[in-house]
Amino acid sequence: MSLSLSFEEVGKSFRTQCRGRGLRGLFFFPKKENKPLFSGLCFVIEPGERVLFLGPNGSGKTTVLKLAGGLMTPSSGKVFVENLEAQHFPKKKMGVMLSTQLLYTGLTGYQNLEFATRLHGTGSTQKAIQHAIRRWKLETFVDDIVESYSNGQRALLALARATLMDPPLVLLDEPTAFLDVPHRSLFWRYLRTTPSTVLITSQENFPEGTIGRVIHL
Amino acid sequence: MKLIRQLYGIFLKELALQSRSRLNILNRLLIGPVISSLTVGMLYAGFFRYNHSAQLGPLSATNFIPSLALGFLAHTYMNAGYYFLSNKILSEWIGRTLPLIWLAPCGRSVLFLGMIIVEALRCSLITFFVFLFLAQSTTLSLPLLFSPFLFLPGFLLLGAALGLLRSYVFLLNEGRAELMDHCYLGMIFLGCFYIPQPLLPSFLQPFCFLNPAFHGMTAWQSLETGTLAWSSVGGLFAGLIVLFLLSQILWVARKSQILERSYG
Repeated sequence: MSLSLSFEEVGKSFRTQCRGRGLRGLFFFPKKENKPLFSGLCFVIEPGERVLFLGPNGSGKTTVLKLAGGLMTPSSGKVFVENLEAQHFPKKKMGVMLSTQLLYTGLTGYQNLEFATRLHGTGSTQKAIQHAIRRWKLETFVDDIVESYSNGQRALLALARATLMDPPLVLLDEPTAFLDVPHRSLFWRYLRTTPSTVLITSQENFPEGTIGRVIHL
Repeated sequence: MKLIRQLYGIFLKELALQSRSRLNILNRLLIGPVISSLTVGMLYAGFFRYNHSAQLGPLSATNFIPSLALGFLAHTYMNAGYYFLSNKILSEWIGRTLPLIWLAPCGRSVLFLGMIIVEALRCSLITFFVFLFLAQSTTLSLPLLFSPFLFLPGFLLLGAALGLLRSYVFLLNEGRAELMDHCYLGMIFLGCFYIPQPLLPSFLQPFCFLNPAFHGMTAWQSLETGTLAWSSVGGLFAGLIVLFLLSQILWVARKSQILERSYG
């Protein structure tokens, strides 16, 4: 199962604060201004499509992902997921991996996955978790506290959590940034076989056959 | 069944997360109520012993201990709601897991309920020991024995509503959260948990009526005399509803700003 997604004339600006340098910056109120990130962004993503967003730092790749996930509101225009505004789209049909990885570092990897599964309220938690552990090869460290994980292990766990219940829409922010070559090939395999609609941001292009379309920002 | 599975999941996660700092949380929860009730209790005991007065406002040598015990419990439950919930939100913000509140496949009310249940279970142990102590020192009437089930959830939720406001203030500007703590301390003082309202300076007394915690405490203490002050029960729950609505309105109105800051 997969979902369609559309951006209609979407613009996003951020309210930023500018401070002067030295003592002036300490004693005067910061200057606030709206900085536009992008505007008039239009595209449609078909069900099952795998789309890669490429662009330099600060071009708004992660923001596009957050808008699609309903984690941000656009300053102008609208984002729709299956004819519903992204903010009202049910989150149980969505798997998200952000660059902050959203992991409870005080829990083990297994407990993180278990918590995510239980929130879905389904009975078969064990089956889904075991499948995720095998799919992303987490066997050797899944019972360790996340605090002790390397960046790559955290990225794998975040990937496992985002794809845990095989949601129809998957949003992945820089998923390969910390992955080594063998684990990258696991990720390519996932992309080639998943029926879900997948949106990915990255700094680098992906191998042939893994991605359906590239959008440059 | 689905709701129970979700609540169970939240329960397990909270227990696992708190297992590393169990003692700290208990200290934070109890330190204010323990210090307040012991200090005020010693002052009352000294007054009744050396002044040979039978009454101090509505307090007497026989009823001040049960009255302080109820105040201690009300304060503990309010602290539990206030500190636990807001600290939880703050620690999720620092740990960069706060967006999960919006990404969770269940409703935010379920997440909130799950966290509150964990806290209520912890507090119920304290309640048990306080009532055990009360049962030995005084005769407990049946309504008073069952009163915790009505009042303590009220105090817990009142603290939680204030905790939501505290986390709202923090998430918009972390430097201003302490302002909210000062307001909370004022609310505790004017809640008359330890000092009856007639003993407060006369210029402060009218402010007590604006405080839902005061109404809750008045209603609970009225049970000691055998008749429940229903208007005060109404005061507690009306205040509770107003504060929850206020926190909800503020969170919804500034949702996008909170969300943007929630990524740490």
